[in-house]
Amino acid sequence: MTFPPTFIWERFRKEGRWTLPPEEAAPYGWSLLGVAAATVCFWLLRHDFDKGQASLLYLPIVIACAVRLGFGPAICAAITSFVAWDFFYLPPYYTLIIENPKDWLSLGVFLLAAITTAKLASDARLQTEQAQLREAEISTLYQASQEASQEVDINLLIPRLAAQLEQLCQSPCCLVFAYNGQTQRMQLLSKESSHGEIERAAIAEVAEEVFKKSQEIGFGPKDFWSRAILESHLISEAEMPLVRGVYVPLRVQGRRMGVVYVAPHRDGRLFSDLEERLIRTLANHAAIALARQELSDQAAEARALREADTLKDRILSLASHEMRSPLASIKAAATGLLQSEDAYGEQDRRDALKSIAGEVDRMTNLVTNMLDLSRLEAGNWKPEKDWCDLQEIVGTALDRLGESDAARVHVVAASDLPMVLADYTQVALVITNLLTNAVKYSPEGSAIDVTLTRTVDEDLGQYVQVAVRDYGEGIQPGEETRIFDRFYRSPRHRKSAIHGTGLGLSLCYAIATAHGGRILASNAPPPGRSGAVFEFSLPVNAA
Amino acid sequence: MKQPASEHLILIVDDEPEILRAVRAGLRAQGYETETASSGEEALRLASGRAPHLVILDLMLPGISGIDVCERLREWTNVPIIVLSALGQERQKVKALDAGADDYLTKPFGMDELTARVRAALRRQTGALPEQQPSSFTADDVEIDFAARIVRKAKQEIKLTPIEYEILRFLTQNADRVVTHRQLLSTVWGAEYSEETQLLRVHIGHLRQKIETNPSHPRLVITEPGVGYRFRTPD
Repeated sequence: MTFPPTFIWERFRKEGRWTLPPEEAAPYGWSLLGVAAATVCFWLLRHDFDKGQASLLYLPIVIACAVRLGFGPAICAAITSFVAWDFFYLPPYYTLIIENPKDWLSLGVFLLAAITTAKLASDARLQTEQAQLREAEISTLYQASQEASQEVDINLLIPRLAAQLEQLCQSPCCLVFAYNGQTQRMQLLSKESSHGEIERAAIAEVAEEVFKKSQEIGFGPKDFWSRAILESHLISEAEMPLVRGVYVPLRVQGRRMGVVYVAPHRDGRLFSDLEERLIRTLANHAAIALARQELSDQAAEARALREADTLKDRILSLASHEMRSPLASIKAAATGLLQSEDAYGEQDRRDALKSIAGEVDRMTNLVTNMLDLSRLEAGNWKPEKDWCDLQEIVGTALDRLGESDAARVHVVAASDLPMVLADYTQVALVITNLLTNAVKYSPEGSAIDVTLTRTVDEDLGQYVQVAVRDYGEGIQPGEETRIFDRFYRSPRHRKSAIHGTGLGLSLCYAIATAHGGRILASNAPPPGRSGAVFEFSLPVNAA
Repeated sequence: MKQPASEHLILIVDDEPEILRAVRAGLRAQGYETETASSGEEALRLASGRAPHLVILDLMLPGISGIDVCERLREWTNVPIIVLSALGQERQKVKALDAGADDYLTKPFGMDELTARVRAALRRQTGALPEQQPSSFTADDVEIDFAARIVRKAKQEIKLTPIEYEILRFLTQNADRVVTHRQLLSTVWGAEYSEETQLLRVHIGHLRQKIETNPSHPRLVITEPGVGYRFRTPD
């Protein structure tokens, strides 16, 4: 608690004026009124009481003032009571002169008692008030932090923080700027505001300056900050009203992240201590959120790099195995034939030639798949849609499979199959790949079931589904989606004799997606026999 | 190895020397005479000078394109043309076939496939002339009596609608040769229907239900994706 002259001086330093605003002058008025009322009361009862008993009336007034109105008004009441008592009731009357030394004593004791009780009462009042304020403040800050920490998406969180600040500080506008390392500019994150384009641009300039200097401005004496900005020559004096407000740099562990701007109150009143603390706390939240976002961006980038790395590894391992081994066989067989064709028996010669032809097929398949996939992914192979009969496409795929493998396939088609709007060649490629896969990953001679059905689904609407089910080992749990990744091969098969490029299924996936359809892999449900099921669905009439 | 009864001269047109060499060696081994050209201009000159019995034509040529060569040849000769194309050039294939080519093969192809197509094309050429239609056709257990307009499968007469019969007749007349959607549609329905592929698919589906042993895996009426259909006669 400061003595009146000190806090009046403090107030002057802060506000730059002596007069009190009406809401602060009123308590003094009330205290004077109370003293006047007590004086009148005593005047009416002056014959019934001893003059020394006036303090009995004045003291409650002072205490009431201290409790209800605060220390300043109470002191005011004490002093006026002192003067009034002396003036009206101590001889000589209607002068401020005191004759009797005993009166001096009672007046002095009264003043001391009045001031002491005023002090004690107002202190008690202040403590209660402060406790209430602190409680309100803590609950406001807690609520604000709570809301801030619940939102993960920075694009939602920042505007919410800005709106919160506007509401809590009763400010017409709050803007949050983040520093963008790539453009090296301040970027406005909270889009919605009552401020116009020109104002925002001017504020952004000041914000940039605040960011560079990393020093908050706008709190404290009124024109102090504007002088600092004017001196930096960023803003002309005419533009000054546009950019008035509080600027707080956002910092996390010494790293600068951005700036928060809060426009001043409409009535020009300064931000209270509570509001200052609120602004700083929420600015701190914004800074932490921005830092968190930056970290998660970095993590995502690292993840992307790691993925690119695994992809590169897969391509390398593919190149070393799937490309070099056919080349090695071709080279060996062809040079063997060239060197000593006469020495080869008829059977050996045919074997060598067969291995050349077979390995060329393998490489052709690999190169074709890679080219198709890259064409699809680059968007250079757009489906040329026409009405297709899926049963006919299954027939084409079976034709490509070769007699003995095709004989393993049992096709069951619903009688009401509609035509679908699709690219015949691409869909035939999907079904051929699914069938080839089924043949490859199931025991020789085991059956492969192809089922064609029409169904209605929420996502796809009316669609036709081709399900290819084999009776092989099925899919390893956890690989249901990974098998559609480019160059992915199950660890089970990497070292086995089953050749694969890890491209066939990714090609199927790309084609299904390009058609607005989908492809899913699963294992046949128990209690039936094991095996993988691939379900390829095409919407009947995709947009 | 079967030796052809008469000596046929085959003109091979491709700008890649390795392909020329391989195809020439393969055809010579089958007893055919060969001539090679590495550009469209050279191909046209040799076609008029040597009058080959068959032309194998790559679509990707420097200078005049394969499709242009096809069109110019058709201005004065009926020589069978088999075009070679890279994968994914469906439009080019259809264009070449509509321009008068008889068949196509997609690279990379096997020599067995090529010689089979060559044999089929030469057989058609030396076989019946248009005015001398054979009176019947047999493939697997399917039998067509053109005079009586009767189709039998496994000796049982089957009922075909007039459209299905026309499709089957046109396909079997061009057996082992690819027929484009446009050619089929304009022959069976008329030129104004030449884009109605959906119509064609429905009727082909019905036809397969009637004449194929396993309609899900047709052996006779084969789809050439993006191009058309081929009636395949068992070897």
